[in-house]
Parts: sequence; structure tokens; C-alpha cells
Amino acid sequence: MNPVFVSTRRRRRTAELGRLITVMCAVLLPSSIHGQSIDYGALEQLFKEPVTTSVNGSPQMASDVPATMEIITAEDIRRSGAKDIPGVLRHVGGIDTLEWGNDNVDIGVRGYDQAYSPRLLVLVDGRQVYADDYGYTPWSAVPVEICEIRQIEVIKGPNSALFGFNAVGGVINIVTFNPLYDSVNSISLAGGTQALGTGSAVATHKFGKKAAIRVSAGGNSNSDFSTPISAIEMDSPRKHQNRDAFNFDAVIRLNSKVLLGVEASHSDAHLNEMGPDYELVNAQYGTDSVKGQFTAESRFGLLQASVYTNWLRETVTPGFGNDPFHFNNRVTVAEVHDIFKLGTDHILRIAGEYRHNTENTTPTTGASVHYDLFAVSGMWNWKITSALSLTNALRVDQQSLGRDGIIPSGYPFTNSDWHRTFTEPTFNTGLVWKPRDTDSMRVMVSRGAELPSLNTGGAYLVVSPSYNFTGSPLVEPSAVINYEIGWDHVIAGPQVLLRASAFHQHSNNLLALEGEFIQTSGAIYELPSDIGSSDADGVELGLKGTLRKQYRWGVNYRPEAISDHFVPSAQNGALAVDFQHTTPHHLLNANLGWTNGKWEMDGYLKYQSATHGLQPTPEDETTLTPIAGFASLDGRVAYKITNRMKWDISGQNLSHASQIQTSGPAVERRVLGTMSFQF
Amino acid sequence: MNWRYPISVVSGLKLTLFVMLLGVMPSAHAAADQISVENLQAAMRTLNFLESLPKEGIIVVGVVYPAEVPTAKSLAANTAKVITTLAGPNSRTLQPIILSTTDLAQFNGHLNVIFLVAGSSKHPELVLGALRRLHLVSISDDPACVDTNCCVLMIRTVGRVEITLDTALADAVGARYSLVFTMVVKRK
Repeated sequence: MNPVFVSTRRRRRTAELGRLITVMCAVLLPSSIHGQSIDYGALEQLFKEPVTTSVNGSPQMASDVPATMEIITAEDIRRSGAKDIPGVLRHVGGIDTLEWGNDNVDIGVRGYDQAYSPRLLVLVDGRQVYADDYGYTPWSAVPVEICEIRQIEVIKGPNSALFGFNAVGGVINIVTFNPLYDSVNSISLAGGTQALGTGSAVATHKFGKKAAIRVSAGGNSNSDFSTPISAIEMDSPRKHQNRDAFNFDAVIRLNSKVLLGVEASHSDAHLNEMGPDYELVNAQYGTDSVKGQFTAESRFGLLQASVYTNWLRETVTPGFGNDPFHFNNRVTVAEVHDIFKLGTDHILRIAGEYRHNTENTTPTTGASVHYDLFAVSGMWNWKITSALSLTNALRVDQQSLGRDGIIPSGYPFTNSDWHRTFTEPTFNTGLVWKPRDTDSMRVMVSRGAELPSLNTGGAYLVVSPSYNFTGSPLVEPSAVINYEIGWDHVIAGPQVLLRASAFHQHSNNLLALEGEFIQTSGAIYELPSDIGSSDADGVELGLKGTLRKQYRWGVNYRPEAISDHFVPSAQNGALAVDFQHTTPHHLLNANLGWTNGKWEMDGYLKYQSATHGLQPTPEDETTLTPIAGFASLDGRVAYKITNRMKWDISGQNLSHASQIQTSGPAVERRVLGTMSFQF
Repeated sequence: MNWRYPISVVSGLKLTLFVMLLGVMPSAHAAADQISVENLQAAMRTLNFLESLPKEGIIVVGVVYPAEVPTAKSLAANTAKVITTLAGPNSRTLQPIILSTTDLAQFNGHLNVIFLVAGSSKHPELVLGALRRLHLVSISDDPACVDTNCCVLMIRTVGRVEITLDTALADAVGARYSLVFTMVVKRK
């Protein structure tokens, strides 16, 4: 046979195979819209406001979303002067922060903040980065560099109908720059107080118009605060802290309508951490992730699919007795979405998700707990009139638990006790009325659900002669119902945005990590316990604007009152959970920024009214301790040496050398000098 | 201290209320004989999302004015002048051509897109005929063009950027926008 003919036929076959794969990708493998398929930069430039997909899954302008949402832009992040994400978030209205150490901050939305805060879902480009073992976010282990973040989206209130379990207090979606559309190339080096040394590099490379990659790496080394800590709080002496992280992001354009994305990340973090029992421990985190996603525009709509796996290794010292805790968690998530229009007035989204999550038991090893979760969801956005739109989102999750491995002698459960299935519906409904270009009013009702973490679900297992503890298959998901109204108003002349919202939240089936006891023939086991419910009422008011293009300013205020309805054994924080007394009634943030040629200056003031925190007692319980109201000042001065080189000095808690802000050790003043270079 | 005009808290609140009421009142739109650079910038930026636009080369923008309005030609000339200072997708050059509505009806040259200055939409038959014949996208910041179905995109930048897409007209002239764009804008 003629070799040229064979070669041509092979090429044709290869081309046909390529087309077939492309079509299959387009039809069968739709992918997640979160993050990478949208040219956020071009849309933001056009609409002069950020665009998001984090509220109902379809792209929307920030002013159109049926949710109370803050979008922190890349400029806001840069001008915050923060070295990490919690440092950026502490300036956002309605965000609660508990700063336990230089690298250890717990973040809550609308109160309900606690050590190992579990009510907040945190994602990077749609991939969860919160840890399933306790259901919280170890911020130091999040493998993203500050300068590769396009925007941080903070959605307040439950959003489980889009994101699933654990999006009960709020969602923080960190959206990075898309290498296909944005070229980010920078190196920054910083040093400061607490022996801080940090470096970060981001590089983007485009392979024509068809493919692009972004690679980032960063490292950080610092001593923790040296402020005194009570002996009862200190389970382990504070150690030197460090972090390193690597992130890889590639996007390939298979054709004009189909994108393939591949992401991989790794991080290690050693830090001193306030544990869920309010005792300071040493924690080591190792995380890895891989993700693949397809995005296709087709006649069926915006079809999308993504699959990712996260690995988390966490060692906590001291653990129990001489045994550290070794948590090993792996979660695999597969999602399929399709967003399409129906006529001119309707946008619909249908989605399915599968999740497999597993973790070994620790410190007593030999078993593992796991669950499989299937979810279907739908969203319907109906433009009733040009000024009025209604969005309804509904999701149903079915979670099947399981356990494999050893059954200790005298253990109160068998593996078959884990053969349980929960079905949880969640929804978001929002009506948005825009009577004129400058006003947007919202009425919203939503229900979110929070899964018991894997530890409370059985991975935390202590079997010893003196004390026994086990997570339980009997704990049930918590649910949060949220009612909310909101109003945004733009005063066009002086460029001022007024935002106001009022909310009521009811949470039930709230969990404490301990408090329940079960007697077996061989032993007594302590278990997590359902401690009751809680109600919250609050208002958020914000004003922000610019003046003569040189000045930017903002002020926001959140009064909030929480009422806990806990069982007697859990009252006054006895079981390491108390929201009524530990959520400040008043939170106030204000900021003022100035730009003039090569100079930039920004100042941030935060005021928190007197509240309480939790501290451990000799009886292994926790108790309330008062925290005086405080005001803290952050600031930044930056000078652009050339168009590519910038120098800045920033600081946090500048007004005091040390200041008590939590029930833990006082925070210290931090000052940081940074040189950054763009290439 | 002897303040002649003391500002009390109540006065402060009244002042705040007054300022807010000023903000609530509808803002005056740009007069019909003025150019809004913001509107033109937004109009040209929408070309980033026009998938049916040729991928390379100069983008020819017809600036169309109503022949019967005396000041309209100079308005079109000023519009064209602003357009020359703007960039198209991927920094491509925008080349304006000034045409009256009657010129447009007979035009047989090359155009990629037209911008309708205020008043042009009073001649829907001339504009629509040209759009269909030349497969053109029309953009305007004149709200009247929505009612006369003359503009594929109507753009306003009062307070916020509002873009209305006439999906039927876009289909009729063969204009294809990215799906994401069509989901973000208002659809008619």
C-alpha cells in the first residue's frame, strides 16, 4: 500500500478522532463555570463592576445578584497591604475574625465565628479548600498566592442550593486570573516583624491563542506572636511557623467553543493553631489537589464538567496521650452543569454532583469512615419585567455513610451502624427589583445545610484505659434558614454606593464536638452532641465611594444579636460552642485611601464592641471570658519606583504594640516591607 | 465657643437625608446633542464579545446620523473623532465612517458595525434595511432605538452600565455574541 495514502488516512482518522473527542467533550463532559471559563477582565472593563457566577451559577453583574455579596477586587487586595487572605477579609463588612496567631485566623460571616469555624465554605476557582476533617479552613494551607487572585467573592448567608453542604454561614470563592486572558508575572519579597520572611512568584506563559499556563509558588517563615498565653490554653509551646505552596493552572482551547482546564496544587504549612477545644496546638498540614475541567458553549447552553481530588494530611501535636492526631482525608468531587437560556426571559441551570469523601480514624487507627454523596440541583432565573427578576434554586443531597475497619472492644457501634442515608433539600429564592438604574432591592429566603464533619462522624476515635471518645453515625446535619432584605443605591454624582441589608437566621441541630455519653458493657464513650438551636438578627450598612479620583473611602457597620437555645449542659459555652455571647453586637470598619502619581496610601480602622471568648477550664470544659471592645488600625504606604517595580510598607494592628482581641493570646503589631517586581 | 451657624445632629441628619434624596432622584440623561464618551467606550468594548466579527483587520464603524437634524452631522463627526481614540478587541484599530441615514440606505461599501447617534432611530426602515442587507450590528445609546427595533445593542452608562440586547434583531442580522455575554446583559 502506498505509504503516503496510509499516512493521509491515518491523519484523517486522527483528525476524525480529534473531532469526535471534541464533540464528546462538548456534549458529554460539560464543566464547572466557576472561575476559569469566563473572561472576567473583559466583562469587568465593560460593565465597570465585577461579574460573578457564585450566586446562582450563571454569570451576573454584581449589582444583579439575588444575594448580599461583597466582591473584593485585585485592587482592593493589593491596597489592603495584607500578606494573606484573612488579612484581606478582615476589612470586609460583616466578616468576623478571630486572630489567634500570626498565621492562624478563624473567619465567620455574620457572626457564629469560633475556633475551627465550620460554617463557611471556601473555594478556589470552585474547588473546595476547606478541610473536611473538622469542616473548617486552614488558611495557611490554601495554595494560592495573593497576587494571582482576580477577586474574592464573599456571599453572605446560606448558599447550599448552588454549592451544597457547608455553605451555611456564607461562601468565599477565590477567583484567580485566567492564564488564557490575563498575563500575571510578578515576584515579591517581604520581611517584617516576628522574623517574617516571605517570597512569592507568579508566571504566565501563553502558547499562542490556544493554550496558556500560570505557575505560582510562595514561601513564608515567621515566629508567632510572643505575647503571654495562659498555661491552661497552651497544650503545646509555640513553634516557628512556615508555609510553602505551589499552584499550576493550564487552559487549553480545543476549539473556539471548548476549553480544557487542568489544575494542580501542593502546600505545606506548619503553624500554631487554636484547636476546637480552645487549646493551642501545633499543626502540620500537607495538601495536594488535581483538577480537570471542560467548558463548552454549545446549542445546549454553557455545558461544563469538572473532576477534582483533594488530599489532606494533618498532624496535630499533642494529640491524645503520646499519640499525635494524624488525619488523612481524601475527597473526590465530580460535577456536571448546564446553563442555558429559554427565550429572552429565562435562564436555567441543571447540575449533578457526586462526592466521595474518606478519612482514617485517629489517634486510634485501623478504621476509616467515608460517605458517598449524590446531588441534583436546578436554578431558574426569570426576568418577570425589565425591572423585576426572580431566581429560584433547589438542590437535593443524598448522603450515604459508611465505615470500614476494626471495632474496638466495648465500642458502642458496629460498622453497620454507619449504613445510614440522609436526604437534605436546600434552596435559595431571591426577588430583585431595580426600579431605576441606581437602585436594586432584594428579598431573599434560603435554606442551607451543614454536614457533620468526618471527625464528628466517626474519624475521631480515642480508645484508652482512661478515656474513650468516638465520632458518631447518629449526628445529623444542621440546617440554617435565612430571611433577608437588601437595598443597593448608587449616588451617581459623587460616586457613592450605599448598601443595606437586614437578616434573620435560624439554625438548628447545632453540634458540639463533645457532650454526649454512652455506656457500653466495656466502657463509657463520649460522643458529639446536638446542643440545640440559635437565632440571629442583624443589619449591614455600608457606604463606599471615590472622591476626585484620588480618594477612595468606605465605612460599614453591622449590629447583630444572637440568641442561643442550648441544652443546659452546653449553656455559657461549656461545650466549646457559644454564639450568643461570643458574637460582638457591633462591628464597624472604615477605610480611606489616597493615590497621587507614584504614591498610594491606605488606612483601615476596625472597631469591635465588647464581647466574650471561650477559654478551657481545668475540668476540660470551656467557659466565657470577657473581651473589651477594641479598635485596631491597619495601613499601607506604597511607592512605585518604576512601572514594574514597587515598594510598600504595610502593617496590621498598628495602634498598639499588643492588643487583646480574642480569648487567646494578644495580637501583636505587625509591620511588613515588600518589594515587588512585575515582568 | 460662639458658633454663628451651629450644625446640630438634627441638621446633619437633614443634610444626609437631602443628599440621599438627591441621589434617589433620577439622574438627568446626557442631552441628545452631546456625546457620552463612556457610552462610546462601552459600545466599542462590546465588540470583544461579538463572535461573528472577523478576527483580524481594521474594524470599520459607521457613525450614522439623521440627515434632517441640523446639528446631527457635527455630533456624528465628534462621535467619529472619539471612536478613533478608542481601541477594538485585541487593540485593533477602529475606523469610523460618517453616514447619514439616507447614505446608509444606499451604502454598498464595507462596514463591520454601525453606531446610531441620537435621532437615527426615527428612520427604522432605512436603518433596518441596511442592517439586513449588509449583515451589520447596530449599537446606540439612544433609548428610542429599543422601541423602533433599530439597535442590536442599546447601551447606557448612567449610574451603572446597562446593555440591552435585541435577540431577534441579532439573529436577523447574523450577529453572534458569546453565551456568557448574552446571559449578563438584558435581553429583549
